[in-house]
Amino acid sequence: MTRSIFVCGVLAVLTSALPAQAAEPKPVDAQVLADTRSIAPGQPFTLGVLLKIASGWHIYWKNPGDAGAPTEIRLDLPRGFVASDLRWPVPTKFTQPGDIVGYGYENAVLLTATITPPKDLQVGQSIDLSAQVHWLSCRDVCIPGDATLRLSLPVAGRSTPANSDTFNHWRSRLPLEAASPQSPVTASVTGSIGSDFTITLQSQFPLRHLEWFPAPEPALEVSDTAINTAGPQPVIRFKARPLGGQKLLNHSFESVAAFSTPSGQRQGIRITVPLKSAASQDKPN
Amino acid sequence: MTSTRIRFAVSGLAIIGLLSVSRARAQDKVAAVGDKAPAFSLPDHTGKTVSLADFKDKIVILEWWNEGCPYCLRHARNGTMKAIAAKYQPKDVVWLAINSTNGSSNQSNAQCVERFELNYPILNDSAGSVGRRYGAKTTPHLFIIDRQGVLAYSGAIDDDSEGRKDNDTNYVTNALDELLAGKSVTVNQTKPYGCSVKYAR
Repeated sequence: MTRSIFVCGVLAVLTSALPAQAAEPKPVDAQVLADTRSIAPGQPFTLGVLLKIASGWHIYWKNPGDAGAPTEIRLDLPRGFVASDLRWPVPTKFTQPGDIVGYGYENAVLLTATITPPKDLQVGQSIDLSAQVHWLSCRDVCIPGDATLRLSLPVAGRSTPANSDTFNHWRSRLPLEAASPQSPVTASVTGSIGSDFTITLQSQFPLRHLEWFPAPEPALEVSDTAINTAGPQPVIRFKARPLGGQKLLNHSFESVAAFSTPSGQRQGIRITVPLKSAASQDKPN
Repeated sequence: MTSTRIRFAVSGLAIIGLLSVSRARAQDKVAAVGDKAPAFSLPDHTGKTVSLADFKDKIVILEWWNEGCPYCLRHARNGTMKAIAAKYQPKDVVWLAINSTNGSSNQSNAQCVERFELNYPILNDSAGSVGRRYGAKTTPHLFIIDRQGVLAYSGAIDDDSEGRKDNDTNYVTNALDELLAGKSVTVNQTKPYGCSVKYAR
């Protein structure tokens, strides 16, 4: 008879008793980058956290889907520095057995924010920036990860480009605002809580492999999503309702429609879905 | 020829029959809050068969569990579920953990019961059929079945997925307190958190 050495899951033993470096796989490597070698007073630059993910593993988008946990970045910046919201490249959808849908990233992702330094910054000093990153990486098991990443940049009269290839590559993978003039695809949204919502897309070219990624607040359940590309305009239908007994905080939610262009490039557009109830036209509840 | 026509007719009926059966299986819809909780019979970690019917007229809590999930391990180390199970057990509340992880076994479940000194059994649903009937998405995903056998809550254990809050809201104990007071559950559905249930294909 084989004697089992499997004590309630290998992870249970490792995470409680042994130092973090022992034997536990580390599927994610995190590093912090800036798109400039130096900071100029008042001149915005881009800070990015590059996450490299081992084959077969994934980490999650700001809405992880049915399970998982969003990747989180907390920036620690000196006084007077302002950071924009985090920008998320177009995610990938993965469906696991049991109809469990996840939204996230495989292989790698660069999450960025625009940092605006104060105008009265003294040239010649060095600025320390840090990013606390937290993620959940999953394959057949899930392993949480944390990293504190630091970057020092000198303050000079002007900025000088750095890591351009990396930042350009990932900038092209950011979704465009559907209503912006640069967007090749526009969207019109109808519907209300308690009835069906529809997003109708207008596009200059056929949208292949159309996918839709909603990012509702946790109390809002988005369900029954159906994507129809058979007609002249692609239509995304779905239902949205507050989960039993919960109040909504927001009057709308954000979503991303992702598609492949005729040249095979994956692009996305951000679509805001206003929430009105069928009874009341201007309040979610 | 008559015999060929009959043979085709019979084959046609057989195909329609198969389609009806497969459609019926696809329509075994996932239980929703307010529905009768789906019946089940599963072996526990000692090999004993445990059925929902064993607990008629009791409040039953189902906790989806996977020892490969850090969210379950954090609660197991903190004794979160054990404490609730112990507190409400005198009020005829039954706590059952269910493991729908592909490849899990009574033996691995027994090792977890022993390691974390659980005061409730882990049921073996490695084929995943019970998890799918309940629509269990995460570990931990919690379901509460009231005394009438109706699904009264589905969702997260609390509002603190990362274990950061000093004062979290425990949806399960709030629901239990309401049910025990003869009231209906106010917050009867929340988004569950945790790792995805690792169902077999």
